[in-house]
Amino acid sequence: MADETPSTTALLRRLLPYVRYDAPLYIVALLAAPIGTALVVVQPWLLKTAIDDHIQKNDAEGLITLAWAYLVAVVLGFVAEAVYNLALSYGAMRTISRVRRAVYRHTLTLARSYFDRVPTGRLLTRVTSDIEALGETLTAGAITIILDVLLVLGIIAAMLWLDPWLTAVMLVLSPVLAVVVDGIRRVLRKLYQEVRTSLASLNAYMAERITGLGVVQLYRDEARVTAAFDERLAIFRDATIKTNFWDALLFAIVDGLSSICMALMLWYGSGGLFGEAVTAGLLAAFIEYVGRLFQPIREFSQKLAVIQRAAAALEKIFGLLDEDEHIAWGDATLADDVESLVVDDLSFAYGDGPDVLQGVSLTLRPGQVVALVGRTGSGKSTLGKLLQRSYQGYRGSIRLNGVELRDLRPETLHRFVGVVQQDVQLFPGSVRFNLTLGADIPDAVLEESLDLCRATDSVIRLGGLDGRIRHEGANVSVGEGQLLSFARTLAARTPIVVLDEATASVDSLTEARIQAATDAILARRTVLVIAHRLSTIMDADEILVLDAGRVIERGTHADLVLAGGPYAALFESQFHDHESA
Amino acid sequence: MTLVLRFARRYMVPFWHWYLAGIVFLVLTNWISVTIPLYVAEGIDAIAQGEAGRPVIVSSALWVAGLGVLVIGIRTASRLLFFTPGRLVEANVKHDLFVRILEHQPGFLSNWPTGDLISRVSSDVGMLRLLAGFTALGVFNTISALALTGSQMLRISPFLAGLAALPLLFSFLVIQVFMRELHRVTQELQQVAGELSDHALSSYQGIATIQTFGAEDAFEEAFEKHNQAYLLATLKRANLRTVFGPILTLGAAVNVFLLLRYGGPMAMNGELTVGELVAFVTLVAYLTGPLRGMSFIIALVKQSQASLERIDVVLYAEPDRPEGPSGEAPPTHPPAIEVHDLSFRYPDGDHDVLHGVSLSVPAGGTLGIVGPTGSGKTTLLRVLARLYNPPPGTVRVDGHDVRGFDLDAWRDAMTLVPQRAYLFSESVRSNILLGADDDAKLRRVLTLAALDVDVAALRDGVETQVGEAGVTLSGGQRQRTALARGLARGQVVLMLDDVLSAVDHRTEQQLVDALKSRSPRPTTVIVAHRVSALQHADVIAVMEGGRVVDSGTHAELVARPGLYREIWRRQTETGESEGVHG
Repeated sequence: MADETPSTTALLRRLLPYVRYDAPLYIVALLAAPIGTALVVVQPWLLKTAIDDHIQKNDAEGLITLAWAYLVAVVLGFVAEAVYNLALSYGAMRTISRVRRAVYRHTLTLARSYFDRVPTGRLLTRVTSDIEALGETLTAGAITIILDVLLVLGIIAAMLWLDPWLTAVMLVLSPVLAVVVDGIRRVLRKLYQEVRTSLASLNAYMAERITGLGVVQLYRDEARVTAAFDERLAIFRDATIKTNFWDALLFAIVDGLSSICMALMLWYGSGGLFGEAVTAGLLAAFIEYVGRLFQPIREFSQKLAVIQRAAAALEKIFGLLDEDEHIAWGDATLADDVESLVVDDLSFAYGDGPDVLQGVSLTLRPGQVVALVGRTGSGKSTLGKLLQRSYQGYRGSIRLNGVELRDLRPETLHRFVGVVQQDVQLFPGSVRFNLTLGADIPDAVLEESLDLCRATDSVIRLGGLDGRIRHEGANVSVGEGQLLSFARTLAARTPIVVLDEATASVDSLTEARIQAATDAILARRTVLVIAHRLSTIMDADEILVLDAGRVIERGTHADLVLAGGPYAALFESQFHDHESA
Repeated sequence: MTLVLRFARRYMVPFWHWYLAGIVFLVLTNWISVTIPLYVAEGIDAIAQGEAGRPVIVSSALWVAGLGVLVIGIRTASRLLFFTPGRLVEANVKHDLFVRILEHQPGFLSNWPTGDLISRVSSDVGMLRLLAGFTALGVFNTISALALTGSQMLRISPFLAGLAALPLLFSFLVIQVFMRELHRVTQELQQVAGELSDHALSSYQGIATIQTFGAEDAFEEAFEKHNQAYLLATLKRANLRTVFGPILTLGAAVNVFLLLRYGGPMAMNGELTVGELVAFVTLVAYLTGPLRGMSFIIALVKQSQASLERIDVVLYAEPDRPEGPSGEAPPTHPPAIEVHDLSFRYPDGDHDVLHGVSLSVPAGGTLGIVGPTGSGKTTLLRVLARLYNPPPGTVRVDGHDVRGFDLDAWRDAMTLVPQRAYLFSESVRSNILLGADDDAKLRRVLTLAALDVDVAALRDGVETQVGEAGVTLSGGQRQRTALARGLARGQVVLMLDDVLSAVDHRTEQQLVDALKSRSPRPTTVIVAHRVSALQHADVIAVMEGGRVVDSGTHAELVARPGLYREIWRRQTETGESEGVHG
């Protein structure tokens, strides 16, 4: 077995911390298991006794008593097994739900650079189908595996007790079985991994195309998309067909071996092997035992296959849980008032790419408005993202009240710096939840924020604060979404606001409403505007003009216009354009 | 059931030769399986004869061993012959369903969240694979096993065979009730699973907001609610499975009791041999497998019913193509477009979003549209592009109802660059050229969309992979990439939905000039918020609340009071029309 893939047992051991909480359930299950097993193991022995001691000896009365004893064993065995199954599946399901929560939680804490790399469809697979595979395994398939092991041991013990030599003959076959089962199991494990990988790739591709269906249709890209889909589909299909072959072979081999066992027993029973004949009852009991032995062993191989599937899923789940692409936060907290936000000689590159910010410095004091302007790619949005610590690894320093940003606790930073995202992100749920995102904000504050953003009408249309926003914001227009997003940030009442303007999709009038609201807030808030429109920033305390990651000019609107530099040129040309318009 | 039959006819019947061979091997498998206990019985009875019986024992032992080896190959083949077509069917349905989704109008698909559509192609089709593979195997396995085992049992003792049938029949009936319940619970489970999946997907897509608001706890809490609902449903299912699942095994064990209680005395009377009694026990145990399989199958067929419904409603719905199979060919030159008294509401909407809109653009002319958010501009473009079909007679292209055009040909003829830039996880080149190979064109549209500098700055230039939904590009870059994608297509009608706000003023002017100088000049519809992008349009329509409230040339509109003049004044005063964009 390849070293780079963790063994099944190692994976299962990692599951232990999630299992711990349901210990009582697992203990009940473990207690019920041996009782159930004993009651099953005793049944063939009762059969042997019935044949040898009663039927062969014509003891009708004893036979009937024994038959009833058999029935009692059957019924009690059923009850014990039910208790075992119920306790174990309750435990397993609760464990699974804990894993699901942990995976979800962990994913939310991963750095944005991770989300930039990994398609959300794949993350969704982890938290849904992979964990479901695990749950299916534990409830439907592998749950009885402990019972199976006990049963196998119990049966072997009973057989040894009845006839050790005959048992030894039977067990001759077990190494063969073990080697075959293990060999096929390894092949299967690799194949299941292949199946899951190809399925994830297929689903990710499909999810993206269905989400961007409008583009595919408008640009008549159907043929190319279908071909690419089919290519992924074929890889998945072929992997599953290979898997089926080994699955079927494993199933059949175990089944065929039980017949070979019976043949050996007959030969032994004739005295042909050791010259020692046996009774018909003993043979009947052994046939029953071997039958019962092979049933769990046969299912064992199926269940192992299912466990392989679960192990493949677990591997991916733990792979995600092991992902530690986190933002490293510090421990520092701050007093309530903002004194200053100082950016000093800041440089930054995404991954090992080129620097997108080079030696940028700025100071933001309470009540001030500082604006960043510049072309796309000038780095102004990146600066905003660094202030939220969406990305780490900046050089130089960013200090809030004198404390380096990376030394702060996340909640401290979030309490101080609020953000209006360039992309509007809405969630399925109530309007209230979309505004508060779970924070404890009184309705009055929400309503005030909505009013300021002129979003009250939209919210009324949606049915008030309790109205529902549908999945992917399907019932909200782009402009409304922006108004809500703005209201969301206002309602959080952070002293500093980073406003990454998203004016592209809002018309002038809506923009004017937002502008009016912003103006009212600017007097009381400290704002860093990543500006797309000059109208937003004419009254800013300082304007920084960025180009290729460097500040090429800075000052107030009036200063910059007087200085006659790039900003002035921009402003001039704009003025001129309007003259001509 | 008709759904299952339709499915079987369309997808399974083409693989009939696989199934036929599978049935042959299955019957062989079962025949060998029930023959083995008979040889064993023969051997057991021979043991009682002592030394004299030894040759019989040896020969029966050899038979048992030989048949055991033989059945390995045959059984493997029988399973493969059923499972392989199951996989092939799965792939075929996935293909057909995906292709059909690509054909449907967005209005039809908006009935379901995207995640739900995806799960139809992934998990629901998986259900059909079970139907075509496992279920098909199970049906024939049960039939042949029951027939072969039953006839062997009847041959040994009709009385005992009848007796053995009772508990099995009883437990089989109990299982039917159980399966019905299971079906109900499973449906509930699917429902809550869908909600859970929607929540997770939306929070991964909105991760930036969640993290910058420090809302991880709140989202975890919301997730936990879905998680608990899901847990509850799975527990209900576990209850059913545990209590009713082993009922058949119980029935078989009760049978051994019956065989001892009634068959034992028969053996004492010499009505059957001890070997036959043992064979009977083996055969009864052998029956439980197919019977259990049978109840699984009934459950699967029922569950797949739900999956089939979910698939069929997409797969068999005809795409909304009012032109019928033989649509007209759209014009090959820039056409005149006339919109007359167009009112429109979304299929899932409860009010009109367009009210009696009338407009016209001359061939090769430019129509500008301006108006506040929610005024119906985007909807109008979607209707012109027939992402949603307009009512008959309301949109005419060169005098022909746009509904009469072959939709594919119409889409080839026109280009709409949507407001929301959606990019795929592939290279910038692929995103723009969509698989075509034309470097000259690529360079041209990159320049035209003012994207050339940005792309040059990317690590791998045009070969740079764009993250999912274009995450690694800025909003403006994404929109300009989408613009370049639109411009890369030849067209006679070009519609830009607020795309120009992604470029700065100078680029906007370059672009407008470039579009004007194209020959032939496409009939162009531009939605914009900046007056500067519209002022040279042949006609400008001002929309508000789904109506055209004013229209005319730039000069006409600024000469009279109204929304347009208001916007124009505002933009002139504040310099808004001249942004520094990016």
